[in-house]
Amino acid sequence: MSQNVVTYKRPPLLKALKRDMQLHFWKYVLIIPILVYLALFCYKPMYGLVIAFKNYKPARGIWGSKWVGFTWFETFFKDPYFFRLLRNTFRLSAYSILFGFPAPIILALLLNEVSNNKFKRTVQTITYMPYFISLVVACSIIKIYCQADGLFSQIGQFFGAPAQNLLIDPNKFTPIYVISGIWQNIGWNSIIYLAALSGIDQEQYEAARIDGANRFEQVLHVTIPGILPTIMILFIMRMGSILNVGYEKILLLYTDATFETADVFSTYTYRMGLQSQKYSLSTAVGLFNTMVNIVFLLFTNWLSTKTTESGLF
Amino acid sequence: MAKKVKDPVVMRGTKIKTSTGSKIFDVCNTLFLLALCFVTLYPMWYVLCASFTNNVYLVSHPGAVWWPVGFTTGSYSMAFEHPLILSGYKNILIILGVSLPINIIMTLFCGYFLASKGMMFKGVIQFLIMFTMFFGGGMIPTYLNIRSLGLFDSLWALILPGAISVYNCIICRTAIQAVPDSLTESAYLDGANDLIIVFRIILPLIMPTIAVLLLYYGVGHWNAWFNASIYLTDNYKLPIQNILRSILIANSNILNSAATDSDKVNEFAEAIKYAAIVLTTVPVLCIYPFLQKYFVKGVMVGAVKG
Amino acid sequence: MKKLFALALALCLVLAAVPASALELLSGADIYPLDAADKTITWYAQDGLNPHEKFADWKESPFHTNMSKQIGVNIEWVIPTTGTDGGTFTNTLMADPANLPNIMKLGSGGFDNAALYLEDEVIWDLTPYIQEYAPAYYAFLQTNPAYDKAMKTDDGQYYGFGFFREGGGWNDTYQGPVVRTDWLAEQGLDFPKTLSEFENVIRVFNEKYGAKFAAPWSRFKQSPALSGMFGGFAASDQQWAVQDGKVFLGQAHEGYRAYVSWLNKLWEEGLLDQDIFSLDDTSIKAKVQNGQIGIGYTSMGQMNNWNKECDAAGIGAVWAGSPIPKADDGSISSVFGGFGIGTGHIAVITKTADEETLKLCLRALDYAYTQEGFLFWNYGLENDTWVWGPEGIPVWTEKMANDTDVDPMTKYNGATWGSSCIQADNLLYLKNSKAAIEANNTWFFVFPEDNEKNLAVTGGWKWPVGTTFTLDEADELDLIAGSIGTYCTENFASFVTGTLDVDDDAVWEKYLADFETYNLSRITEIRQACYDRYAAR
Repeated sequence: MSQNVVTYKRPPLLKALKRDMQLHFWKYVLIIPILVYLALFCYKPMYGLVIAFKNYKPARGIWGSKWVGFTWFETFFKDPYFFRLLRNTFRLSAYSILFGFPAPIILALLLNEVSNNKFKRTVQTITYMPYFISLVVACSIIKIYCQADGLFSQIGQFFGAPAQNLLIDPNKFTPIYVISGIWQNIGWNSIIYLAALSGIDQEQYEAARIDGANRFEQVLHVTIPGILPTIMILFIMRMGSILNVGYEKILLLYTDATFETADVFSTYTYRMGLQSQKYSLSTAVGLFNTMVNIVFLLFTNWLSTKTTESGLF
Repeated sequence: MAKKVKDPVVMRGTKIKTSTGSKIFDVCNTLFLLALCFVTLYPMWYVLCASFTNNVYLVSHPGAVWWPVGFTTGSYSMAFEHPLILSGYKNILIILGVSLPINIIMTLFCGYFLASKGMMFKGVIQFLIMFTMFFGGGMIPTYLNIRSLGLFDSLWALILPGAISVYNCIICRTAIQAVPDSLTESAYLDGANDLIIVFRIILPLIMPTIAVLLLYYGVGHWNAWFNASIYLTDNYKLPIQNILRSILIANSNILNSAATDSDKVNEFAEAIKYAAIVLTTVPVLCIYPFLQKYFVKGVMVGAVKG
Repeated sequence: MKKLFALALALCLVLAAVPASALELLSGADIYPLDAADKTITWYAQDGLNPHEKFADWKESPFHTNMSKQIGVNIEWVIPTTGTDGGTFTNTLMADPANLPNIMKLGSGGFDNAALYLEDEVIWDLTPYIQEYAPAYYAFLQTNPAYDKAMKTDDGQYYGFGFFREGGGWNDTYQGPVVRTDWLAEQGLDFPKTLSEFENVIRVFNEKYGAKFAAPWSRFKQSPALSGMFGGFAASDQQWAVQDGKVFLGQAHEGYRAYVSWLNKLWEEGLLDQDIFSLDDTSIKAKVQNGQIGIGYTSMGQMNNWNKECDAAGIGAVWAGSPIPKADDGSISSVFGGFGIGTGHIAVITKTADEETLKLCLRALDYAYTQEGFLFWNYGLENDTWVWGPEGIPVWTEKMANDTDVDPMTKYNGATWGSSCIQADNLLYLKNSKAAIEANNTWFFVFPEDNEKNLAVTGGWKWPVGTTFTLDEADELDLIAGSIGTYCTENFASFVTGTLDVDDDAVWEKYLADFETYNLSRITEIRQACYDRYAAR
């Protein structure tokens, strides 16, 4: 392609275009349905983002509502709880990534070391199951275990801690949230890594063994590099959703005594938007979320392409 | 690239004998995985036992059932008495049957496009695709869009908006990128077009990822309930998840904001919640082993050789 | 035991005093059924009118299908699908005003933006039509100034059909303290009527049985809970109160301080269940059955469930409603209650109805407020589900009595949970157990001998139903009033658990001062103006 650009006298654009179409005709054909889909279902309703800058009233419609500029953003930034929400959201998300992201990778690596196929399959199937317990029930089980006379408190008492309800202690909310999250998702999230692992060329292990690598070294030099692109892509996308902490689980688990650490953007907008129909405010908060997410995504992507040469774009 | 095929398990097995450190690791690994199994299995076991347990016992012993006490299938017969449960299963099967082929083909195309190099418009198109990962119109414009497209109160409203997930496309792209370029290049030389390459060469090589995508899309559709709740007005069109959600919510006050002074209670109020979970989980669990085989054994080696 | 009998006797007397309410409704005998069976109106109902769970949809539901026949017009119901959150469904539906059903019956969220919807011509202003096409409803509103006041805007425009309880606020006081009478008897105690008696029962039960005070949080956080005995008006939920025409926030009141201070004392002494903040109606049942609670706080229906389940489990616990405690000098400022008026269930007519359809819709809605419609909405069809009893009040037929499904009357009636209708007291008697009705009486009749004083305590102190904010006020509140509720809620928890020491004047002063960050003064000002306009209606 690059040698085409040599002639400067005639604009090569049209010719290059024609050549591109000829060369990649089928690729463009393949992508057309996707573009049509995106236009219809993603781009067409995207004008809705303007309600972040309007005083949206359902009765007046999106265009009929009044422009208010950045009023909603101002309201949100000036909210006495803004910094607390930001801090809590980051804290929950950072811990979820710090512990929750590597956990399924480790599980996949450990499973990969199991030579008994039956055992491997059984462990996989079992760890994958909690993903399907609905949050309502999962959280009610967690609540029961966290009561003053519940399982966790009893274990704590065995080690000399006083009997207490763990859900009213603001300091315990993050661990409860993160650990239960790992427990529920570890098996499900490891599936993608298992798929990536199965794609590693087995010959590479043999080559490593001939070079005298032990098992640990094989993992380090063959297995991990083999799934690294998958890990990095997922990591970048995870970082790109750093402010997206779902509200349902927090609503089910937080108590009035733990707002200090448990109240996050999504629960705030849930209370604001769904309970009092402030669509403009929730859209503004959503837009802010997105902006922060994108910054994190771009940064991680940049870092990843620098260090591991795999990135989103 | 052509290499010999050996059974990976046997290959690894011959190695293990040599080191005692390796043996210790195996023992620890097995113990750890067993412990993990216990921790993750117990809640499922609890749910299963609770669904068969006598409601009176269940109420007074929350979180501490190890075996169905006062065995009863009452909660299941009650769930199955629900007038919509069969139509719910029927609808989700229709949704899955129509959605999954669309999902997989579109994702494959999109992933293939994103993994290819050299197109003039790739940058623009990639941007257009990725942009939608972050920006959307929000609930109200999306709802109005569905209405203006005439999809309201139709199962298409549950199928079309979720036809493709950019996240999954990227996973697919990553898998396709791992396929050696030499394979596609030689196919080009043999005169194959991209459509043939996608289905004949790429698809068999990334089967583990396709299995994952099937699972992601399938479970996504299976678990989805929100869109059905705002786009449908006919109870007979609801997928199973909405029916079971109604059972779950009607029998727990947590999310039932509508009726604070409503004190509905039935003799299986507790147990039926667990039965509802069993009923929604078992079908997904049954399918798992069929997909699992794709990523337990490596497919790459054999395929590359062929 | 003697005391218990005396109390039971007193309760019976009170009970006998209730039903004689004089509900006078116009007859619609010569109007209904209308001659319009060939015309169709669409009727949306969020919450409260869902078909019974045994029916797949409304086409199978006797109530919904009978309604068309009774009124004489074809009604096409639009109801959120089963398991759907009605509020969310309504919000999306409202985004598309051109496609709204003719009648919209909204759920507990209510229609607080009536002024906006009138101005934007989404709904009909019913004022010019109401007297002619909804005479029964209009006549009913005129029987009580409070009703009429609540059902129109500040400008005097009628816009909807509300929900009313025949017995006024009687059943709005559906939750309060409950106590195990078997333990009271064992300890030779009477129902606690004052603060010190109440505290004593908690202590004795704790000492003798190891039980603590507990309640499902979703109920105990609703203001005012038990704060009335301290002269307060609020618990955890943000609560606006009115005294002598002055609007104020319950959480910034001295009575509230005394209440949280008392709760904190119980908490420190281990008399308040530690799990109270995370208990719900379901998880509390284990504590009920395992004897970890002897005195608590819940609703009449839940108390009924407790009794049923204790009975099924063979536990000899007998729960009964306990009077809402007063201060030791017999004073009390507020109890959980209301006015028996619900704008939450208001039905409006949208502009998708042309004028002819509007008139049909008015007739259809008015039916509920006629003598015949009142009976239909409460009991279903005569001789099918009910007959006249010997005392001139409806009783269920065998068909109903033998129906073992949960709340079988909801198959045939629409007034059970609330809608645009009048709920009969008798329906509540038929629906609830005797113990539950007695509990409701115990909680509602704070001053059985003085009706006016009683009304002031049960509903009179409350922010009234049916106030309307102007468009500008509503917009300003959207901007400034978002977080004050959170501030109230979490400080309540901090005070009770002792994270903040409410008895420390410095802490309390700072708590009050910090309210300004949440715009308390401005919000109070707006609310005061709104209230003044309401009072002047």
